[in-house]
Amino acid sequence: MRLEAFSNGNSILHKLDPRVKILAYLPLITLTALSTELRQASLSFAAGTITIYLAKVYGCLLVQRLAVVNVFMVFLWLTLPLSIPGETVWTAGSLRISREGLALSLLITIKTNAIALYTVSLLGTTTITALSHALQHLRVPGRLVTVFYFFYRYIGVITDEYEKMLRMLQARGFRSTTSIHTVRVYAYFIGMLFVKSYERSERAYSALLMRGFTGGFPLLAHFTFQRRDLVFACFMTSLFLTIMLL
Amino acid sequence: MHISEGILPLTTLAGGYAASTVGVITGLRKIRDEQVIRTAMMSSAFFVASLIHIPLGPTNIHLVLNGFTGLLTGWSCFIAIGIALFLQALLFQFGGITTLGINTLNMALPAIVCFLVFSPFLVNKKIPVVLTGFLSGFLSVFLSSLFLSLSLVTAGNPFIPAATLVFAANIPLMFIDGLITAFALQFIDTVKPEMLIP
Repeated sequence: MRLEAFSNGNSILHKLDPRVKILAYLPLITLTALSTELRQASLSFAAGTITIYLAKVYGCLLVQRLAVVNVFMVFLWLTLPLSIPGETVWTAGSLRISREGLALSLLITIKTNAIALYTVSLLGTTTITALSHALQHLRVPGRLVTVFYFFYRYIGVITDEYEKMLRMLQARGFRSTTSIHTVRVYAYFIGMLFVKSYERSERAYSALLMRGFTGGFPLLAHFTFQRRDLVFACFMTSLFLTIMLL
Repeated sequence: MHISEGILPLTTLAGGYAASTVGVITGLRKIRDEQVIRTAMMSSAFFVASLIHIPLGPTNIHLVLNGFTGLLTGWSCFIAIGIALFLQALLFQFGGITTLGINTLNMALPAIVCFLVFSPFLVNKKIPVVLTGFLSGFLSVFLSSLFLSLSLVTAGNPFIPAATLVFAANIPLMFIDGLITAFALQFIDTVKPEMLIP
């Protein structure tokens, strides 16, 4: 499983201080999520493409991710144009497609895509380790960050376990069909996955305890705020203000 | 089962964040040092288990397992579910960061409800484990779908058809998740019953 697909790179966004990226990201997505005008949303989308360009993460993987985002939009395009009253642009039998409904669907689609672009370019270009570190610097409770860190750390290990168990099932001739047998096999499979995780967590805890673990990690490395971070912060602030005041 | 960005109004988003923050803080207060790693790894298993697709006729569906996770993590399930959703939003763009609060609430609150209602029965065995499992799997997905649809409706009446469609689409999942939780709990009760003691 490829988790941090966008975090390797040497663009300017990859080198920035993660704290600055988080602080630039949050107001922008909030503003975008709450905007009700198509013009504002489109501008935000354009700004999102700029950050994607700066991060140099365009490629077929990005297209794949955006495709996933837009699957959810299909539900809206199927229902909203029919359920919002307004100027009818097209009639088929008893179904009326309204201009307002189409406009709202378009607005939401643009907003969702804009936020996805920000997420990939600003947070996606940070490694999870750096991100959890930055969150702790930004006063997120240390214990929560510790849980998140271990959670992320062990996904790879548990995925390996999962793949090993899948190979074992295949080796024994299991084929998944719509039957109670399949459900039972998958249930035991999941049960085993949780039992193994539980036992591994006990071993990991004992090992950590022996090394003096007290429930959290001290902050050792510190980020440095450099001139490029300042330039980027100014750029993102002006972008935010432009979108907001438009 | 998540709501993506850009649909919900500010009140729903802020309300979701406020309620989930309370849930997470309660979890942080209740977990002891030795449960930190356990919560994290239960959450990893929850994340990985959602990769499993169960065939259903010509299509297949992926499991939610929030009731199951609730029974295994107890009060810390807001943390376990919240961080899994955070990572999904971050890495795969499922759900979203602005909707993280409401999505966590929609999935973790039913998990807490299952924990509070069904966990005592796993210890005293007044109802068979299989039945407890089925009920918690079914109830957790039922409540999550209901909360999800209700949150969509807060965006306005035009969203009622979409909300109904989403709820209806999740009905088969309630039964599948119920069955999976039933057998999985039975398995854990046989293999490692101490996992079920909160």
